[in-house]
Amino acid sequence: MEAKSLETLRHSDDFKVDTLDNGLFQIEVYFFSSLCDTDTIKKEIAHPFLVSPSADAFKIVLKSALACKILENEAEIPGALLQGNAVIQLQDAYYKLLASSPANDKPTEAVAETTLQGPQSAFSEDSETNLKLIRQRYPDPNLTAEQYKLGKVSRTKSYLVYDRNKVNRKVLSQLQQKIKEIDADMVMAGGQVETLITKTKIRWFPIMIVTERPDRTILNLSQGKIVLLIDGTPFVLIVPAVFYDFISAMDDVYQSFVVTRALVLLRYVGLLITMTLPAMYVAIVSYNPEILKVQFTLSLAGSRAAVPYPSFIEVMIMLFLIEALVEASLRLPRYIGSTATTVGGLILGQAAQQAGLVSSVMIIVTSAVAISNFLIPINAMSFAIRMAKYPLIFLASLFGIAGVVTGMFAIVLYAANLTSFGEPYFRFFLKENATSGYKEGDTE
Amino acid sequence: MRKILLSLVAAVSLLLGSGCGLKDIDKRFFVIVVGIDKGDSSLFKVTLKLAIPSPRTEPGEAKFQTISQEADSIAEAVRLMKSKVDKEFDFGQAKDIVIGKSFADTHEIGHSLDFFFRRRDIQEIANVSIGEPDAATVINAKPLSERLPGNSLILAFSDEGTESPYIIKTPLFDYYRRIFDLGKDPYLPIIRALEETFVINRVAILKTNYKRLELNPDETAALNQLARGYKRFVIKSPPNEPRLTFSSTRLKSTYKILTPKNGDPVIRFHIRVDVEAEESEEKLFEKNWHDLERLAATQLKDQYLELLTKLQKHGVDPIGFGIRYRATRHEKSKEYENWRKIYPNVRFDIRVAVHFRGTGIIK
Repeated sequence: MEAKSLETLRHSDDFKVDTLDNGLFQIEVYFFSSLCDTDTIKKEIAHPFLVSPSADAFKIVLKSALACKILENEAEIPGALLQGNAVIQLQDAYYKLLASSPANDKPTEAVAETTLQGPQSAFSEDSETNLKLIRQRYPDPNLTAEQYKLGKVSRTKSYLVYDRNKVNRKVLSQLQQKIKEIDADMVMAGGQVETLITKTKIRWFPIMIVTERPDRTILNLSQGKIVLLIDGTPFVLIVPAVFYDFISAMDDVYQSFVVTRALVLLRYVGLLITMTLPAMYVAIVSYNPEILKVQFTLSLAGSRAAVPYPSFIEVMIMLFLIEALVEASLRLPRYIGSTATTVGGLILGQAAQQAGLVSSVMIIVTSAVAISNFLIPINAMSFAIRMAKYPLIFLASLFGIAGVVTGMFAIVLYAANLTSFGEPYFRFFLKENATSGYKEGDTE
Repeated sequence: MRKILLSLVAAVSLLLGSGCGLKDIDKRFFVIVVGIDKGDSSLFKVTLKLAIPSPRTEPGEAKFQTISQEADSIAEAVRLMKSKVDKEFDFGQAKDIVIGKSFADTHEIGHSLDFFFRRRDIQEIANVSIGEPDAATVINAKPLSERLPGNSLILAFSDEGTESPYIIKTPLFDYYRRIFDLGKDPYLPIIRALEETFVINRVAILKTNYKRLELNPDETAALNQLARGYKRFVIKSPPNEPRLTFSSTRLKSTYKILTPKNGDPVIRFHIRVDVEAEESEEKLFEKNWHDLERLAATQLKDQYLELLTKLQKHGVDPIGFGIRYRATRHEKSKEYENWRKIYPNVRFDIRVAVHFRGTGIIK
């Protein structure tokens, strides 16, 4: 007798129903050929079945096999099948056997967050493999993993991983609660989970780190943070985070103290430049040219002489072009991407200025803004900072330098007001070891 | 949502309307130098040197435009001049204010410059000077090396370009302070315009906003050393001695005003100078260096004494003895009055210690 609940599945061609007969008794095996590894099914089911003298003997085999469970309820069958189980029907009893073929369990090469001298491999797209990668690098009995299924339809497997001794209990219970409350059909990536568990819709700065690097993950685990692994994406989510985490690259741990501090300083300078430079350009060109030296003022005026539009329109044209270029080269396939940058670079660098659309100083401003934006190591923060310059430009074109200063002040206030799971956000460290591991003081 | 959208639209349209504050850099005429002369029919003749910016800057290619206007006040002249140009005047880069010699010789200067003290867009870093023969000539002079209009004047006064012991600069704020402080008199450098360059090597001393006297180049250098501690200058040997020139590398000068109960008031200078030989007709290494030091010290002492006596004779005090006197005495409101009585009788006691640091040549 075949279970009624299987009828909907029959429409798919990759749904297999095999009837096995060894001359003594019969079993039915149901599985999705796309989800299951046939080798496992052969090894775990077909071979024991062939040598089993009776149905009872085979029942013992099934019971002794690992990960083989009796399904109490027929309604559970489709769910079990869709999660990569093979279901065995033996005398009206249903057994499920985990036989899923892992989708993509090879660690990928780190592309979104590269280091020069650190580990080169990133996580894979399989959460089990990722958990294994973490356990291998963090062999501590206190490392705890809790499994969750996220998404009403997708039922995405995910693991909450933390060091039981070091974790902040308050943060943990908050996060567990929020993960349980997730109400979405599909859950696909860490950044999405971040959006889903943030209450406010208008979210600007990231307050959780999304990373693809196992080394960053275990470093954060050892600092008492919580990691969320999600099946199907090589990116994991790390909670809680402070602003400084988004400015630190893994190279900071691998380089010497002086080099590290210099690089961090460089990033903060880049952060400041990418946020304020376009706004400062507008403010200086349109409101306060007296703050520059007279020699530069005159050459700036000279370079702008051919531009008929007010400075903020010039800035918006140029920034639109550069943002479009960045987005395009991000989305385009790698082979076309280089064409886009070449064409775009040529047009932006030369023609726009010669056509009298923008001044040559504006070209420098644009390139400085684009390049210094890439200094920020975590992409989520880099995106957030990209957005920050527009309100500043707006304020600059209304109020000049006073507007820029006020805008920066407001951004600092906003960041200072943020919390990441109850922890203050706009600070250097969460009472943890410094990323370098050398710093004294912050630890107990 | 609609509210946000509406306010956004309003904001953008406000932006496009561009209010009064927003004026792009290419819609402004940068006034680099302001000249003030005696007008033919009115009190002032104001001349502005307006920079014409160009994307390419080549030496000698500085483009500028000068416009003049006569009026009874500077503000009025500027207003009238606005109708002669196509862009808004921007005084934010006005680095030099030149007062014509004919005006400076005959008119009160301090309050005539009131316009510049009050306008917020005139930078407080502007330098004030006197132009010879008049301000318009100085403004119209076109040095061959200039890449940007007015640049050579700016460089001359900013210590970025040439460094000369004969150039004394007077920033506007310093000038303003000296006008109102009791016991410190203002001085103004004199720029003489030649066809393709300037000569700035003299200084005029003022008292109660009127020009009192001009110093010659040597006296100007001495004043520069005493009043501003300018340390790079040369000391020449007396005329009948073999030619020998020292250059100083360090200068430290302090003074005290001594008013003993019974005796004459004395201003005692202690000046320490380090020198090196810069030019000499004789071999110096074997000579007695103490003799050389004494020679230089006498030269300096004579020079300083001559200058101080001249200033005293004319009743001017650019070094600020008066303000020092007022700062170190407590005679209630009478300090300045007392000082004015003392100053004509004060004796200068100058003690120069010269240290010879080397002959400048490896033996």
